[in-house]
This record gives sequence, C-alpha cells and structure tokens, in this order.
Amino acid sequence: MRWGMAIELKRCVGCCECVLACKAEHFLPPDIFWNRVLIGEKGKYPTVTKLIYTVRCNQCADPACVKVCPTGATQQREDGIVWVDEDKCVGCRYCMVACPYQMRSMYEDGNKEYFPGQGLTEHEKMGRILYPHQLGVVQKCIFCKERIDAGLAQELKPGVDREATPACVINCPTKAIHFGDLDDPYSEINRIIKEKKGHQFHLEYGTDPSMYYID
Amino acid sequence: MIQAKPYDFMVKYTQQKEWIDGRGNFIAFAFFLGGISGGLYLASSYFESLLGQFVALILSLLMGVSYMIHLSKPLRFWRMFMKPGTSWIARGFIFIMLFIGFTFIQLILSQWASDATTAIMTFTVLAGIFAFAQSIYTGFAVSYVSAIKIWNSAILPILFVVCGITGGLAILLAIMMGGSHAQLVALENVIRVMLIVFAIIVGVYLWNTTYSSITAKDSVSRLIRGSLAPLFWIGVFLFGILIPIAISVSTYFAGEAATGLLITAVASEIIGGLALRFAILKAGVYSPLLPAE
Amino acid sequence: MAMSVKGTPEIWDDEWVKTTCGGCYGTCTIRAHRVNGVIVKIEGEPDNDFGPRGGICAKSEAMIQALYDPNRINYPMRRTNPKKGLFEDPRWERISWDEALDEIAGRLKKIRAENPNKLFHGGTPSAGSGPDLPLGFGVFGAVFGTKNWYVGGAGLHCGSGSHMGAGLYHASWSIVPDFKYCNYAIQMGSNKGTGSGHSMGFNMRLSADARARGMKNVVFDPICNFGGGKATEWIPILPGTDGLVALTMVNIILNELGVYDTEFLKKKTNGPYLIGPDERYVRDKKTDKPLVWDAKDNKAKTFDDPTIGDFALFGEYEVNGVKCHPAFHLIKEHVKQYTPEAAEKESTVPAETIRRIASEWADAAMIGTTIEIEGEKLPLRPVAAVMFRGGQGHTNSAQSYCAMCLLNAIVGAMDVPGGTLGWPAYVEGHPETGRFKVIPYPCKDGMLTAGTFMEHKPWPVEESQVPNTFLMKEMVPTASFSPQPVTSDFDKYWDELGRPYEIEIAMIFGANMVRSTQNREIAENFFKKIPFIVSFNILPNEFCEGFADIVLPDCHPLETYCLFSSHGPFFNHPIGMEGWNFPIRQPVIKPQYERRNKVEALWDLADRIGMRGEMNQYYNVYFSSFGGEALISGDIASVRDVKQIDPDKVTQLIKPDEKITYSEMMDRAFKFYFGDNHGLEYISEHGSINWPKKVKEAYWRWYVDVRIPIYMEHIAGLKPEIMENAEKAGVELEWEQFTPLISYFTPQVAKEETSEYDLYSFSYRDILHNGTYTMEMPWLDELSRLNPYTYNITMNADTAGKKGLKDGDLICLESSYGRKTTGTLKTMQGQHPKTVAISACSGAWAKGAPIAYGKGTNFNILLESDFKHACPVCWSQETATMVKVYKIDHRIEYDGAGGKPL
Repeated sequence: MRWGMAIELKRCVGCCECVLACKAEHFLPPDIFWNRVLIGEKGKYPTVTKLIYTVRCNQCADPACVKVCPTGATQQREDGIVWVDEDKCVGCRYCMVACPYQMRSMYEDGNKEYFPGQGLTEHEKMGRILYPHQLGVVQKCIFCKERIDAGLAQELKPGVDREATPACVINCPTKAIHFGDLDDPYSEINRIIKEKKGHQFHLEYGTDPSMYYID
Repeated sequence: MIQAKPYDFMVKYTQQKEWIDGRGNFIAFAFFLGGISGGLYLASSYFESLLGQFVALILSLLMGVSYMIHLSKPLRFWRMFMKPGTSWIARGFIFIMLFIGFTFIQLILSQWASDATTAIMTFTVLAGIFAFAQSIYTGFAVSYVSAIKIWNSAILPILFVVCGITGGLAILLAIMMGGSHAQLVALENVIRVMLIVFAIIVGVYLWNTTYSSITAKDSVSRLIRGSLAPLFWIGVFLFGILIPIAISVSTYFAGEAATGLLITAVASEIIGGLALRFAILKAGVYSPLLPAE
Repeated sequence: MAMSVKGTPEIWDDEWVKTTCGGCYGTCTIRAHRVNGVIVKIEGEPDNDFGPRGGICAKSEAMIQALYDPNRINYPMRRTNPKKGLFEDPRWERISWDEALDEIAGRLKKIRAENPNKLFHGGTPSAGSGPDLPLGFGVFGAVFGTKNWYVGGAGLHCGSGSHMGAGLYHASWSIVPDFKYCNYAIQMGSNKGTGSGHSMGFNMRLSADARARGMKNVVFDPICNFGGGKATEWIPILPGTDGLVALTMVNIILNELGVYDTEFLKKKTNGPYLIGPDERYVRDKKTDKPLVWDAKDNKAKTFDDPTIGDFALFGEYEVNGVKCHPAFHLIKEHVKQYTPEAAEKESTVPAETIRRIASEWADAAMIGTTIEIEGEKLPLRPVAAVMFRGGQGHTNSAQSYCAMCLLNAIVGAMDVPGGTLGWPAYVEGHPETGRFKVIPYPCKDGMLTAGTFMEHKPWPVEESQVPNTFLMKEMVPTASFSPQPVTSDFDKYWDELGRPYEIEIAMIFGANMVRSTQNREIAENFFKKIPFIVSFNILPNEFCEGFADIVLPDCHPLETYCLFSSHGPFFNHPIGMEGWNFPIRQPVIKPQYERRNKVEALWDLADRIGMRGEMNQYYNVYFSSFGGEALISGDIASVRDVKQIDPDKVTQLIKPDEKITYSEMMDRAFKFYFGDNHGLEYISEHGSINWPKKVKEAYWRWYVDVRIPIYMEHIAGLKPEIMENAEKAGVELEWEQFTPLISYFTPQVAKEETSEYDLYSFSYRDILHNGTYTMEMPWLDELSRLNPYTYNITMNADTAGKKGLKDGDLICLESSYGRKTTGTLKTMQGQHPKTVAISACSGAWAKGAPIAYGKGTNFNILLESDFKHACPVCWSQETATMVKVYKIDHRIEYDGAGGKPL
C-alpha cells in the first residue's frame, strides 16, 4: 500500500481551492501552507505556455526528511505517508533544509491572526480546539491521514469515497487530482499514470516521489 | 539583487533560509564553533597546549549552546540522540557530547593527575577522534543534503575540516603568543601550509561545483557575482585567505613574527572561517519545481 | 464527520448544511460544515450538477472568513460627518433599526408622493450580499415606481454587448461552448471556466473535461493568463479588435471556403428575409409579415408560409415594386471587405493565422453531421465561438459580439450538440407540476423571444423615447446597461432636457459604486450631490464610507435564506444535458448582531410607506410567470407593468395584506413550483430539487420555431427615431454603428493612440477575485500575494525593457486624459507587447476593509465615462484606455486617502 496522487495539469485552472481546502481542513495559521499553487510561464512571446502546478509534500517512497530527522519525529507509515509527530520534534529544521521540494513549514508565531491586530475570529478559535498546532515544530501535508484512517475504519475506499479522500482532492472543481494506491498495479491512479504518462519531479534526488504530474 | 518575491518560491531558484535566517544564524555559528573547536583541540594536542585544549572544550560547549538556541524546542534536546543511524545531526550531537566528555576527563587528568600518562594518552586520542568527528560532521551534515547542489559535494567536509583546523591553529597561535619562539615558528609554518591548502580547496570546491549542475552554478554565481559577493570576497577571500596569507608570507620573509600582525592574521582567519560557513549556507539554493524555460 | 480532528474535543453540534455559495453569481451548490455553532469548512455539493460536483473554488472557501470578518457592519449606522467624498471619514454612529427605517421611510414617502423617479436605486448581484435578483434587489424600487435603476456593473465588469447579443441569438444571458461535445472552441476575451463569474463551478468542471478530452481551445486575448493560460493555442490580439477577426473569419469561410449551414440559415435565421433598399424587411402588404423568396415557386411569400419549397438565400428580386435581396446575400457581400491582411494591420493577428483558424473551424464544424442522444437525432456542430467582457468591452461592443455570433450562425452551431449554448432558455417545468417553466417563442416576425430575461428586453425591442430617466436607456432600446448618469457628460444632457427632476434618495444594495464601476472622481461627483444615500452592505466599502448616510447591515450568504440564488435558468443553470437543479440558499448559522435579511428589511420599509400589498402582488405575478404563463419576462421594465396584468392569470401565493416571513414565502413558492411535498422543509434537507433534463430542453434550437436576426433589421428601424430623440437631449452617438449589417468599427481606445500614449491598458478577471469584496478575505489575500500577477501591473518583458523598466519597479500609468494609477510591475512573456494589464478590481482605499487596503492597483481610475466612450448600440463602456508608463516614487492615488502608510 502506498498512497499517491496524479495531477492532470490540463484540467487545473489555478483556482487554488486545493490550498484553501487544506487550510480549512487543518485550520492552518496565516502564512502556513501545506500545499501551494506555483505559477510561471514557459517560452518566449508569442509562443508562451502558462504553467500552473499544485504542489505539496511528495510523500516520497525514500524520503530525505525521514533520514535526516535526528529524533524520529518525522516518520513514514506503512502506507507511505510521511508525517511529523509534533511531540517529538525539536525544531532543528534539518528536514526542512533536506526536502528537495521545500514543502515543510515551521509554525513559529502563534500570535498571527488572519485579521492582524483584530483578534482571532470565531473560526480561528474553533480551529485551535479542533486541530491545535504545536508551536515551534515542523508541519507538513500528511495526505489527510486522519480522513484516510477514519475512512478505512468505515470500510471506505480512499480515492473513491469522499470521506476517505484528502481534502484537496475532493474539493478540486476540475477533478485534476487523482488519489489512490500506487502499489496496486490495477488501481485507477496507476492506469492514469501509465496511460497519460505521468512523471515525477526531480527524480535525480532519488527520493521516488508519490506525486505524479500529467502534462 | 532584487529580493525574492513570495510568488517566486520554487518557481525560480529558491534560497535556503531555515539554516541561515533568524534562529538559523545559530546553526551556522555552531558549525563554525564545532570546526574550530575540533581543529584547536587537535592542534593543541599536537603542540601540547593544555590551555588550547581547554579553550577547545569551551568552544565546544559554546557550540552546544548555539545549537540549543537554534532549536525551537530545546528542552527536547535529548531526543536528538535517537537516530544516529541515518541523521548527521544526531551523530554530530553524539560526537559533541563524547568530545566534551573525553576532553573534560583528559583535562582533569592532565591538570591533577599528570603522571597517569597512559590514561591521558588514551583520553587524548579518544577526544582527538571526536574532535575530528565534531569538525568533519558539520561538513557531512551539510553535504548530505542532496537537494542543495552546492552543498552536495564530497569536498565540503574536507573544506570544513581544513577551515576548522586552520582556525584552530590560528587560535592556538594567539594562545601561544607568549610561548617559545621555536614552537611559534613551527606553528606558523604549519599555518602557512594550511592556509594555502585552504585557499586551494576553496578554489577547487567552487570550480568543481560550478560544473556539477545548473543549480549549483546559480549558487556559485550568487557567491562570486550576486548578492553574496561582498560576503564571499570580503569575508571569505579577503579575511579568510588573503590577509592571513599576506601576513604569513611577509612574516616568513621578515623572519620574525610581529605580534600585532599575527593577532591580525588570527582575527582575520576567524572572521574568514565564520564567513565561509555563512556564505555556503546562504548560497544553498533549491532547483525550481516548474520546468525550465 | 469527515474532517481532520486532533485529540478528542467536545463536539455538541456537527452538521453539514446544504446551501449555495455567494462568492459570485455562479451560486454553486455547496455543503457547509458547522461544528459547535461555527462554520469550519465549505465543500462542493457532489450530488447535483449546479456546480463542480463536489469541488468548489477558493472564493467559496474564503467566504467563511468574510462571514467572520471583524470589520463587518453589525448594526445600522448613521453618518455624522456631513461631508461626502472619496476619502471622507463617515464617523459612523450606531442607531437602531427602527430609527433607521423610520428615517428612510419618511423620506421615501415624501418623494413617492412628489415623483418616485427621485429615488435612484441600484447595486449588483455580486459577492457578499445575497443577490435576490428578482425578489429584493431592484424590485423594491420598481414597485416604488422609480425608473432610475442603476446596476453596479454598468457595462464595465458586465457585458452589455454580450447580454444584448446572447439575448437576441440564444434567449439567454450569456453563452458557453457545449463542452461535452465541442471539439474546437474559440474564446475571444473570455474566461469560461477559467475565471469568469458566469456559472463558475460547472464551467470549470465541464471545460476541464473538455480539455482533458482534447478539445482544441483557441484563445484570442491580449494576455496569456487565465483564458489564454488554458488555451491549446493562445493568439495575442489588440484589445477591441476581436470583432474584426470574427468578421474576417466569416468572410474566409463564406467567400473563400464557401462553407455554410444552408439548412440553418434558411430555417433558423432571417438570412432569407428580403431586404429592400431602405435596409428594412420587405413586408407583405396584407399581413405585414416579412417576405422571403421561394426559389421553387419563384415568388415572394411570407416567412411562415407552409408552402415554401425552398428559401432563397441569394439573388436579386423585385417585390412590392422595390429591388430586394435576401439578407444573407447582403451579408455575404458585405463581409468581403474584411480581408485577413487588413485585419492583421488592425488586430496584429497574422493574416495566415486568421486563415488557418477559419479553415480549421470550418472543417471542425462538420456541417451536415448528426448525433443521436437519448434516441433523438440532432445536428452535431462541435465548434463554438464565445466572447465576453474583454472582447466586447469597447465602443464597438454590440457589433463585435454579434460578429462573433455570426460565426456560430453561419455553421449552425447554436444550441445544438457541440455548438455554442446559451444558459438554459428552455425549461418544460418540473415533471410533477409543469411549473417553473420557461419557453422561448417567436415574435410576429418569427424572431426568437426569450421566455424570461432581465434588465432589458432583448427582443422585441421597444420604441425609442426622449430620455426621462437618469439612465437614458429608453432612448436607445438596444442598450442593456447604461453608464449614465455616473459619467462626466450626464449633466449636459440633463440640462438640455430641462432637468425634469433631481435625485433625492439613492438606495444601493451590495456593490461598490465608486471602485468597481468607473473612474472614482466621476462617481464622486455624482454621488456626493445626492442628499440622502442608503446602503445595504456587509462591509463598509469605499462607497459606504464616502457617500452613504445610513448603512444597513446585510446578511452574509451563509447566514440567510435566498429563494432564487440566481434569477432563472437562463442566468446560471447548468448547460447541455446536465440536470435540472433548483437549489436553495439557507442559513447555516443565524445572523449575529443586528444583521438582517435584506428583503425582510425592505418589507419593513414597504410596511412603513404602505407599499407591502403592492410588493406581495408583484411576487404573485412573478411566481405565476414561472408557472408557465410567462406573464412578465422578469426584466425591470416588465416589473413596472405588473399592475396591468389580468389578475385572473395570477395565483395568489401571498394575499395583499399578509405579512409573511421570507422563509414562509419560500415555502409557498416551492410548493407552488414543485408540489406540496416539496416545500421548504424538503428542499432545506435535500439542498435542491433535481430532475433530469430532456434533450429538447438542452438542445432546443430545432424544437422551437424561431429565427435569429443575423441581419439586424431592427437597428436600421430604430436609427431614425433614436437620432431624433437624442437630438432633444443633445446626445451625439457614433451613428454609423446603427447598421443592420454586422460590421467592425475601430474602438475609441485605438483612436486615442499617440506616440506618447502608446500602450493599451486593460483589466481582466482574476480567478481568485470577484468584484471588490473578495479582496478583504485574508485567505484570498495570501493567495494573491503568492500569485505573480494578481497584485501587480503586468507588461510584456521586451516592452518593459525598451522603456527601461524592470520587475518590482513602482510604475505609474497615466491616461491621455491625465488620469493616473500606480502599482508594481511584473513582466511576462505572455502578454501583447502593446499592452499593460491589471488584474481584478484591486487598489482598495476604504479604511473599513483593512485586508484589502492598498493591495494591487485600481484600474478603473484610468477610465473615461461618457457617451464618447460607450458603444452607441448596447452602451458598453470602453474598458481599455491608452496610457503612458513611467517610474514613480510613491502611490499617488493614495495621497489624501488617510489610511495606513503603504
């Protein structure tokens, strides 16, 4: 079992809901992003292509961050999900430095408000109850493991059933993000990757990312 | 150079920040202290300077403090022993602890039980091993990061060690300034050689890195021509190499070491070593995620 | 509960409430997750087609932050600073609802007795406040009796030409490719599915499917950002020249390739109608019906004569003693002047490219092929050309848009599988009741007439009148939105007309009349003279702060009911074979503080001035109309005529003296439309009433006996009376544009190009934003800062280089009229070298919206607002302007704004 995503770039219009679905799902504080939408362009006028890439932790099969972590806070589950045990992190940031994809964040300032100087909104206050974040530790995309686990417990299928699938996947309005088991040769995601020639970012780092992109 | 915009993050070459900005300054400082502490201990042991060894211990303790300041959860520091199997930070932490421990014992023995020569020798060798380990691991911790091409070089640990030893020798020179002339001359000769070796390694490192990848080339050009050029040319080149060599060579031909000049050389060398750590950490850039143009 | 939770927090309330989003007028169906009384998450509704089927866009998610914005208006407030102006501090003072409503009612009563037109009302169905288009927004004023109804879009963010054209050709508000079957789409200055507010959700989903399927998507646009960014081929074009390219393609297809859908032209257009030397139809003397030539019988017959053997499209005939030609004959000859080489000069699109695209398009149209859907055999025309604000926001708006429609018409790609579809114009009604029914029908001349519409009647056009309203639209009946009276030339005309009356009260719903519409000084000049202004809003925006005497706290879309999230199917319901969904908007949390449902507050006001009974009657007529009688078409003009409708045809859902709540009205309306078991309770639980669409509803074109005016005879007909009436008001328009033969006219912006003012500046829609309101949402602000273009002024990299400018420079854009706005430069490759662009409606200066303050650049400052800069036919404003660009040391447009330093 190894969860992965395949992004169909043709579908994505850069609306950034994947980012906000994640922010809402995990009540992320200001300036913390577990995923991002990178915008750029390729080519010279008038032959130009706009580039829109939704990026997040690549949930590498052989993750650099797990190896460099001195405490074992950053760890990999059997299903490939790389996560940080907030109670074990010392905040040395080696994982942040070592990640070739730069998809980790340090939560440093607990006083930041979405409306600066105007106090926490009811929404932010509720977030601190439902999904508290420890200060001074590293955080990152965890492929919504809580959703996957709760879903599996109800015998739902991640990638198929909404309740068991990561928030960014189910809330994408263009259905650009596919989620499934990369270890299952018959899974839908493997079919898509094979058929549409999915590729990974920066194979040269040898981390074998679980995020595939389809041009 | 224009300050990188938030929207350029991983769209263009993106500078490493965690180990240099804000709290990150202290890791650069720790690496520097680790290097010279190890270098100083080795040099002091060779030149049999008890004071030098003691200063090396102090510097190592300072390194630990700097490390703690860098951590955002310092009270959990003990967890850093957990993963020496894969993590250079864990290994380094163990090296530092062992170095401090062995040096401490060796110093106590040397001071108050100077006839226990076997024991002293044993602990000096043990401390010496971990002095070297403490010095070189800072290089491995950095060079292990394959994501940053300018760091990911086999030369880097050697560079850090040489820089540490040169710095250590320089400090030892200051410590031994009032000592015997013969030892000073010998020390100075070693320093001269080390400085030249250091300069060569810096050159080889940058030259080699430039051709290793486009990203590393971007890093090198930041050092040589870009935003880091002042730090590199003034800090690393002028203070770390040019001034010490100039003083060493001039004193060599003058035949006599002028105390003032040597102190200048020492200070200059220390600034240079520190600048080197900062320059290399700051020059670390990640390759963009978007396809190249 | 399907959410990520850490630990075991105490949960005493955990509900997903089905409702609709209020982030834009797409009004996608959503589910809002409420935990312990707080809305924590928005997700798309997976179980119906009215949206992205489970997904949603970022604006929708960020609506949570708008709901909990500490800057919201929570109580009625009165301005205590007597001075009004762009940067004036209102010095708000809290008052009670009673005090506010009493004061407003007192003033309204007085002017209603004198002359109801002294009330100026308006707003926009934009984000923030629930639109309630047909039930609150606009209705109050119309029932009150004023004709001064001013919509915030007023041709700038909205598409005057496209609403006019889509109304004429598709009986719909706007158009979109049939993404399911279309193989070749052309977009001209439009963002369907990539940024446009029009049915954002399902268009995003369907257009993504189409791209993944391999639909070719050719985008003519000066910038390769949202629309262009998803093109299979981006073709840079100068602003305002899209119509020329469309006509050139028509020329190539008709005259070089000789391709056209004869069947469609003969039976579905006025192409065979005979046109006399006076540019008008040649009519049958007895019946007054337009005549066509029957090539089989070789004689003229009325267009609807069942004996016609073959409609002649070409030739010269003599009928009624005049020489005449079929309209299509004239069109085909007329377009010969539009050569690719000439088009290249004006538009910068290479002649070869135009030729190639025209030929690809003609091939892809597959004229003659059919498709079978659910057992029905239909023409398959998998090509679509669409245009929206960018393509038609110029002084040639109407003609340019119609030129693009002509492209679709000649290949018969209109409301058939694969072609260009209007938003649903044909609904047979709910299967149980037959109600909620809208059917287009032919007018006496056989032309397509919409079953329901709004703002203006696209067809049949009314007669021109001497202007007697501040909007002056009655003078040019083809106009959809009017820039008047918020212009620099209004007073001149009103003086000429002898100033029949003055505006004494303005009531504005939502909207940001000074930032989103036109130049702010022009707006300031108009609004500061109005003695009493009431604003319903959820945030103190630039308009409220500068000009409102009383602000009333509106509900956020997540805390209120709304019966019609939109106006009707033709406005934003899913296209093609997507299902029928009638969604509800309902409160996920109760309104806090003293915020109130705007419509209920208006009813309170109506009670106080003795108008509630009239409003109730209006609602009865309105709901009855969708019952299938089509009593009123829903446009504001028709609303005013409600009183003249035969009461027997009207179902009394609300008795005149009844005082019901909004939710009670919803319950009655739902039961009337969908049956007794589908009242408010049912729809609240299920979120929407869903039923399958029939093929004839989705692709209605060949099921309804209607034609479209590819020859715009009515414009020729209107011209003399318009000219006569305009003269009385001293109005001068570009009269040549009143031609029935669809033509290209150089836009005003191009006429103003000089060597000094050498760059075309324009603004465009950003997918992260809608109107001005989304700028205040911190999540969207974060995302905007992470976007290279949203908060920056963009320019082609080479152009910038030649001007000595680089990324990050603070630059000033100065128009040839001396108007200036400033911002940060970001260069890009994907932009026409002769342009400079600003995205979204940014550059806020209201102190009450601190997140938005100072972010980005306000483009509208650069615009001129007068008849010279308006399309004479549909009255779209010219939305591009010539500028010079230079470096500057500070944000001059904030001088005197008084906010935090930038």
